[in-house]
Formats: sequence, C-alpha cells, structure tokens
Amino acid sequence: MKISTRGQYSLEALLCLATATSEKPYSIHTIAEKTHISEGYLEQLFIPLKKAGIVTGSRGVQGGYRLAKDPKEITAYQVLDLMETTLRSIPCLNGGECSKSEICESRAVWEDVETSIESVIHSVTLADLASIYRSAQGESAT
Amino acid sequence: MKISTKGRYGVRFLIDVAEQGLDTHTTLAEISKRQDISSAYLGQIAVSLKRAGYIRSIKGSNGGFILAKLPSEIQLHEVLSSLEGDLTIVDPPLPTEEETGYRKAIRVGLYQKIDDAIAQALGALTLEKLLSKKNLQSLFN
Repeated sequence: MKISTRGQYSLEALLCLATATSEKPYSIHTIAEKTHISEGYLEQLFIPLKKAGIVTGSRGVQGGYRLAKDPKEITAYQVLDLMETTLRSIPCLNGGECSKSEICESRAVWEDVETSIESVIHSVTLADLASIYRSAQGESAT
Repeated sequence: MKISTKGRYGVRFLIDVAEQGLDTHTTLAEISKRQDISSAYLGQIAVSLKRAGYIRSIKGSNGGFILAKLPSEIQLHEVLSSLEGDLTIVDPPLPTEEETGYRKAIRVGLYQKIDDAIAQALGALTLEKLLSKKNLQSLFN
C-alpha cells in the first residue's frame, strides 16, 4: 500500500507553489532547485496538472507556474486522484471482478481501510500542508 | 496505492484454516480448491505465515495446516504487516537522504495521518471477529 513517486512529487511541487514567496511565477528551474526534483520530471508532472486546472503556466522570460486556485481549494484527493493510476488499494473493490465477493469476510475490512484513507485525503488541503511547512520553516529560522 | 494479493490471500488463508475447526488439519490442495487460489502461490504464503507463527504444519497422511494461535490472538494489523513488509503509505526516508521541507510537511500533514487512519481501521480487529461476522451473516441468510 503505497503512494507512488509520481503522486509524492506532485504534492511536493504543488506545495512549493503554494508557499511561493514572490509574486512572480516560479520557473521549472526554481521549482527543481527548491524541491530537488529534476526539471524533466517536473515538466511531465505539470502537463496533467495544468490540464486539470490546478496550475497555470505562462511562457517567456518571466514565465513559470503558479497555482490556479486558492490552496484551500486543492485537496490531496484531487491531486492523487489525478496523478495516481488508482486510489483503490485493492482490486476487488473495483467491482465485479471477484466471484467470491458475496461470501468474502475480508472485503469489509478492506472497505474500512479504503474509506479511512479516503476521508483523510479528502480533508487535507494544500493550505494545511503550507501552514505546517511555514511553521517548520519559522522554527528552523529561529 | 495497493494492498498486495499476498496480504489479501494471507488473510483468506487464515480464515479458511480457522473455518475447518481448530483441531482439524487441512491441506494446501484443499485450501487452494476452496479459495480458488493456485496452490503454488498459497505455498509461498504458507511459508510466511508459518514463519510469523500463525500456522503450524504437520506431515503425513492426516497432515496439513492448523492455526498455531487462537483466532482471538491473531491481530489483522500484524498479519498484514508481516505479509506486506510494512503498511505505511510511503516509504520512510533513507538515512542518507536529505528530506526537503516540503516533503517533511507532507509527511507530517498527510502520510502520517493516513497511516494512523489505517491503523485505526484495522485497530483491534482479530481473526475471531472476522469469523464471527461471517457466522452472523449465515444465521441471518
């Protein structure tokens, strides 16, 4: 049961934008420097994120990326649902493919696990993560 | 995000063995037939379950598998942890790896919360509780 590197990196890149300190959009180069994710990987991540309206990108010397919405309105669920191949931790809950579903005792357990994961990722927003980030930065600065 | 077949089949293995009765040995071939899982794969899972102390095997014509503990003593969370390696939603940082502030914030604000939620969902769930759920269902159906 794991969140993929792709999902993790997407959250990190978005958190980087959510905590941007300048008015100017961040270039891929700046984001790469801050997150330690390669520029090539970041560019791949931003294509679907842009298409889904989570970030906006601008071209040119001053160009770069910024969040398209308030960080409060971007949940971990939206990001992971977009970037992960599946949010289901068990294939049998995808419906229909198991002949034993009627009599399976463990299915209810997996459902409980999934429900609890989903309720967390629905409730956590980029704004929550940004405030944790800022308070940690504040502590390490003093 | 996935719980592997190893984890899921392992739980089914234990349920199946328990259902045959606490003092009845059942063979890999029988479990394989009832659960519709290949006996080669079940054999691998049996090795892990045996090593973790959940089942015992006896050789011979009346041989097979039996639970090594009472169903009430078999915690689902522990079974899954031992079969899956660990149940965390992301791997912990390597000791040599420098964690960025972003990653650290996400770990605290999201990954740890998910891990806690999983632990809570599995909570005090034991094999016994899974079995009694099934028995209740068969009474009502």
